[in-house]
Amino acid sequence: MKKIKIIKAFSIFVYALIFGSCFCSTAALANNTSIVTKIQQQTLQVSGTITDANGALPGVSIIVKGKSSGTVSGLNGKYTIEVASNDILVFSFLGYKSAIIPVEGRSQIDVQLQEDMTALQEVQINAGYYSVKDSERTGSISKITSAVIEKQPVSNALATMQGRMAGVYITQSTGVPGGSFEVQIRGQNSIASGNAPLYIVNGVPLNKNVSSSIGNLIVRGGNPLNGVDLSDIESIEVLKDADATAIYGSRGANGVVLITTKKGFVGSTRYDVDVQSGISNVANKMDLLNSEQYIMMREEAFANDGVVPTASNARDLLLWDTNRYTDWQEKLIGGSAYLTNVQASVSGGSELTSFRLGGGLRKETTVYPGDFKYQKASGHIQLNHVSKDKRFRMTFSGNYVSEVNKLFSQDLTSLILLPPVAPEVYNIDGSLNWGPAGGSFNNPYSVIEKDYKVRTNNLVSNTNVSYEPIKGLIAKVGVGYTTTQVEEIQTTPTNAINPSLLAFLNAASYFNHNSLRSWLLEPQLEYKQDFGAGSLNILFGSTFQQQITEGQTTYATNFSSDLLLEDVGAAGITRSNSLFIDYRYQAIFGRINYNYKSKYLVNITGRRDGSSRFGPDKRFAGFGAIGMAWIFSNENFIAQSIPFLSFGKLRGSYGTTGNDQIGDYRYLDSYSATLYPYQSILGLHPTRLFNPLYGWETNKKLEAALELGLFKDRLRLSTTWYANRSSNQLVGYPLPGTTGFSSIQSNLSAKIENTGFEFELHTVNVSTDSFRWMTDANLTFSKNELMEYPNLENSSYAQQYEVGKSLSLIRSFHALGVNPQTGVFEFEDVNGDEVISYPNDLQSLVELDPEFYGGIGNALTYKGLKLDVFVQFVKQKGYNPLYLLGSAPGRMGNQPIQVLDRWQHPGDVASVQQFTQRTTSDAYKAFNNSLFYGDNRFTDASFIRLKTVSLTYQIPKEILGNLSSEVYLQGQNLLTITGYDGLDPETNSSLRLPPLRMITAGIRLTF
Amino acid sequence: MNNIIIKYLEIINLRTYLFYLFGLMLIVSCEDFVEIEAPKTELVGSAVFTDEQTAEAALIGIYSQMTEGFGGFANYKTTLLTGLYADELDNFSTSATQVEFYENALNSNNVDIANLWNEPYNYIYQANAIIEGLSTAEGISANSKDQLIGESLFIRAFCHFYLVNFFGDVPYITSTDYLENSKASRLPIAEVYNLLIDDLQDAASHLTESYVSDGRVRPNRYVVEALLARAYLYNGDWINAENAANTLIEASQYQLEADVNQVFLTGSSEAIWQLYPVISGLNTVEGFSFILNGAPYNVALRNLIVEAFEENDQRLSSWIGSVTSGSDIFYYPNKYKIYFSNNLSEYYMVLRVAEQYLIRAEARIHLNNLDGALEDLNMIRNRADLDNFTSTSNELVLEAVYKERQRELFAEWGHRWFDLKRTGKADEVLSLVKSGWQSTDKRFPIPQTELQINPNITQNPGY
Repeated sequence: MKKIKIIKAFSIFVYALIFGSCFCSTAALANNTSIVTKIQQQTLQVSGTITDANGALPGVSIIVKGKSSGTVSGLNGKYTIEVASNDILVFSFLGYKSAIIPVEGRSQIDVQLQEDMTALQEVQINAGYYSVKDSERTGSISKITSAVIEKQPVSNALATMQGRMAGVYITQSTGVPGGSFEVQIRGQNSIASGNAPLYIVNGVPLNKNVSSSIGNLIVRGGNPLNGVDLSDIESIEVLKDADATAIYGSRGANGVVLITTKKGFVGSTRYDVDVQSGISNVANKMDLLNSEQYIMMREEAFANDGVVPTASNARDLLLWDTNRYTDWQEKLIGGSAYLTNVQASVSGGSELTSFRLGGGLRKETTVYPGDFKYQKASGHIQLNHVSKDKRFRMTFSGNYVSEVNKLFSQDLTSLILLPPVAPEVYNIDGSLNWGPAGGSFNNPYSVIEKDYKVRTNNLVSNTNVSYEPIKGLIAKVGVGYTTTQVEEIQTTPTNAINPSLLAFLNAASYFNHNSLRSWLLEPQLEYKQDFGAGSLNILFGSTFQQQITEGQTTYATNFSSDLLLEDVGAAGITRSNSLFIDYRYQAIFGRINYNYKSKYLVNITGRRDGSSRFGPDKRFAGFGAIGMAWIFSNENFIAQSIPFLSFGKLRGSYGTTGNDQIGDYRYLDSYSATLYPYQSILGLHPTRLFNPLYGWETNKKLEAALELGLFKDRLRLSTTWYANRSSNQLVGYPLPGTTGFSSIQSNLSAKIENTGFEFELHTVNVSTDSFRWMTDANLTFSKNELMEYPNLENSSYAQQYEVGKSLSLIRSFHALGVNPQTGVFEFEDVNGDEVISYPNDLQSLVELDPEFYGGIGNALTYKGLKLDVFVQFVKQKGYNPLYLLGSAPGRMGNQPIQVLDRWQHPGDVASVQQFTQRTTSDAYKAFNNSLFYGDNRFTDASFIRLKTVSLTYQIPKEILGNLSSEVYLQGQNLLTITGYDGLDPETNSSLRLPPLRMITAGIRLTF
Repeated sequence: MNNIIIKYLEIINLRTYLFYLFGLMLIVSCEDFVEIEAPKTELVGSAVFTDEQTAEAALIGIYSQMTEGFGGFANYKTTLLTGLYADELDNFSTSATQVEFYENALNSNNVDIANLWNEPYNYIYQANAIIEGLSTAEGISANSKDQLIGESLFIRAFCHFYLVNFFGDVPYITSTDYLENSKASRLPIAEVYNLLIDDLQDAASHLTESYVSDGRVRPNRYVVEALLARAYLYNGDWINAENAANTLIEASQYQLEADVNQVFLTGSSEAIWQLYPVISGLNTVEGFSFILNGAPYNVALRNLIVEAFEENDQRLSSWIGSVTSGSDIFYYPNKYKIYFSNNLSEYYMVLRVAEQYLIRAEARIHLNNLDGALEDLNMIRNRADLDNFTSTSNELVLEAVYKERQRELFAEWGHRWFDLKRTGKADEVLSLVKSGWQSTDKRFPIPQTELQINPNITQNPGY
């Protein structure tokens, strides 16, 4: 009874206090301070130096306990502060144990801070609309910081994330600078819509890349993260499970990648300069046939077919100089690419206002012959302001990147399989050599004459204003504005056209101008309050976004002169296509979080979205999730019985998210103008079928995880199990030709499940004053399965997918090897009808998803030397390089030397079938079967790659005084251990430039 | 003191009150915000058929698509691919798909095969969309409706005609309902012919005898009758074939051109239906592709076609060109003589009256009107400066008609290939000159993607 009364009285008192404080806000506080100062004893000035085991510690926050005054230590660790002689100073800095030291009348107080491993728990994780302490988060969020990013000499943020986060699988699509990446977070969720995650920079969603309308594939569309400067990134968080992504509603199904840029540095003005220079090349070459072997292969092929080589079917043997040898790999992709990167920034400010201003220039040439390069110029600014009473806060950040990529029309890597006996590339007079009469040579250097230039300008800006009228209640408004402009030109001059085709083709140019601009408005209300032992955090907000894309592609030909190819006005004939997309998005969202004694946590999030991409009957839908966590290491009985457990959390979440990456206007049955008028009347033709019930894909995610910290967090292990079920698949449902269309956009009731285990390990192996060794490792096992597909047998996907198997399934003929008697590939006739036919004999099932992947990083620090080594590994299947040419061994084209193990006489046992050059031979048909359907076109493409090695040396202060400087050596993709015979197992599916091996050196100055 | 406090309270209250209101206003959702209009660069289907101009544009769009580009089903490819497949053309191209036609070794994943299937069905969809759109349209005059519906029905029949001759049994599509059409099954050839003949008769009832635009590039009733004549002939319906051919031959506007050089020109009196060239400078893709200046790198005419002509035949000198390269002579189809010229003097001939004479001749033989047949046959022979053919034997006259068809209609819209098939001579003739010839080659393979997607469609034997 007494207890209850006390609690009641206590709670009334608390409520009264809250209520009262609402009325006694600003003015009252101001009064208090002045009163206090009057009662104060005389002030004195205290100064000193703050250090840690390695030396001076700048940026340490020093506050006077119980008061609002404070300061920050400067670059040399020195500080000065005015205090009363009985004040207590609190020194705090992330990663270190705070020191609480009473002044006791001293005027000189030097402090050495101790590192705190358990401080890892205090790290704030950005969860998008809110931030949460790592120990208290209920969702699955992985993070890397600028420390990891700045050790890699690459230009796109996605490259720095490869292999570093569990559940995040990133592959580089091409080694061409500015090229694109494929990102999959926890597997493929969608059959035909986008699987890319949502990218957000400082709260503003990045424009989906305006890809090439010209059809130039060399950079494969590039990547939106090219528009973010790496040196400006503070951290990258990846949100994976429902708890973290449901608040993003219809855009969170594939995960969310949050990028936060660096803030101003509080303290005296600081200048940073970073200069880096390096070289890259293709690390691995394939073993191909030389001229002798090639001629032998061709002659044997003719002999096998019983055909006499003639000038028309064997121009390489009879019309070309067969004594020549060209190593096309060396010639086309064997060059070295040079990299120069300069970054500089200025930051500074006081406690109230801080700023950061920076910029950089990056230039990378290519491994291709000729003068081609990728240049990126960037600038960024960030301003922060906090009012004196800390109620009003404002941040402004602006990021501008301008990229220019000067390339040509096609990836030359696809031409490395040209015959080694091919003629000279250039004639004596410097013109392109197209081969002797009748022996036409498709000169690969003609590709280089077809210039391609793309300029992309990207601006991402964001302003956040927040005001706290009552303590605990914050009202915020976020306003974002982004624009992207893409300009492309591709020219084909006359001298780049094979003279025998000049009858068909004229010099021509393609122009593309695209501009995309979007604005975002997000007002939010946040309420934080402690109630007894628990604290409640409520967030409520809405989003308004509009994105307008406009563009025009023009094809121009019949120029009066090749010199005018870049002037549309000089073209005799032009044809244009216009593009206009208006995308609007609106949502309301909320979050309720309750934290009881840091032991029990509940997080409820939800969002209701509307998007203009969907059919009129299905415009709005709701999403939500619940996440819970139990930090059992904070329970008394656990803390006492397992003393070496410094942190233990069990958490789980369940919720729904959506995927809206399906393009705009796709539900309308639209008509567009035909390319040409007919007798001066412009025609119309239908471009789509109508579907008003077009809605988004849903993804239900379930997760359970255990996070442990042992031995004062010297060992941290997190184990996660997840199961995501994606349904209502938005699909360009393939239609048979009889419908007049090749597909219709519609929702399919198919269900795809992604399950897996993720492990993340962080250990501090050795930690002494001078030497430190830490390890970070992650491992993911993932499985993708098509769980349900009603009526699959009668649908268009009947031959492509199978219930119970992965979406990456490829149904194949089972190859039985080369028949020793006939010398031709044999396949298993599964249904016994003595014909290898499609589809009945496609019973061999090959899945191309990786079985597992991960990475291990080791960081060693010895005094001023830092060594970071990161290894990435993947276990997967890929495409056998024997089929990359697409044409049987024996036809005109080079082959890997593996083909030398071919069948020649009856009785031979060989791995490759007999050479053939005729398209009607049995061997050719069997080759075609292998190429399109055989399971022999797959092979193991697993690899272990020494991804990053970074060696940094901090030049001792004694030498350079106030200047802090570091020299560093970095290498990327240095060594790959794999059984795969092609150029690179990461880019195994076609002949394209693999990720390059880079070695760079640089120097960083801070003063 | 109290006053001050109360005033202060009021101010605070007001401030926070306004704040909450402001917040709420921003947070309320706005459904209208996400409603957007159709993009500026597109028209929506329902709007197209409310206006006469756009409805006509939808029809014109079909013809424009037929002749755009450097080769489509209705634009060179039919001539090229059937010519290679049968015995008219020799191949010199390294294009794998073309080689498959030449060697009669077609794979069901051949890209040209897929186009020969998908393109006609695409035009059929568009024609059906027009027919359906106009059936409920208001605001379009009855005359316009008739014209547009008539032309659409004709296009539908025309495309199905080629489909059934390429592939054998094919689905007959008469609606735009994609759900139904994706499950369509192949109808037997006879049924397809019945349906397309019905469509043609229906089309004829909607169209007038005049051309609605300059030249002869839009179908009128005569165009429909011309195709009907052919359809009846192929179907063995001799009486109707003769009657339909009569309509064309007796119409004064259609006369054989006396000079063979004039036959394929723009103002040719022999033309029943031509397609207007849409690409500037390109008169016909056939002219562009067949004319040789040196050794061939694409195709050349087979010697056996050249040898089928008698020495003094006007067509030999006019419609066949030759070029020497080294010690070899190469021949090429030269019906179209313009390679590339901004002066549009050759339109692409689809239907001409010479064929109608041959149709009537053949029909008359079967109707035992040998004299009538010889009269028609000799019209064609005389025009080419050949003497009259005489015989009293039905078989011999029939052979003469078949021979004349081979000569008159060589390298033109697949006539030779279709004739070999329908007269049952394909195996006999082609097994002699084509090394990879098999009996099952008489039908093209159905494209593999079609088999994959529509479970009701089965493949032709032999593939």
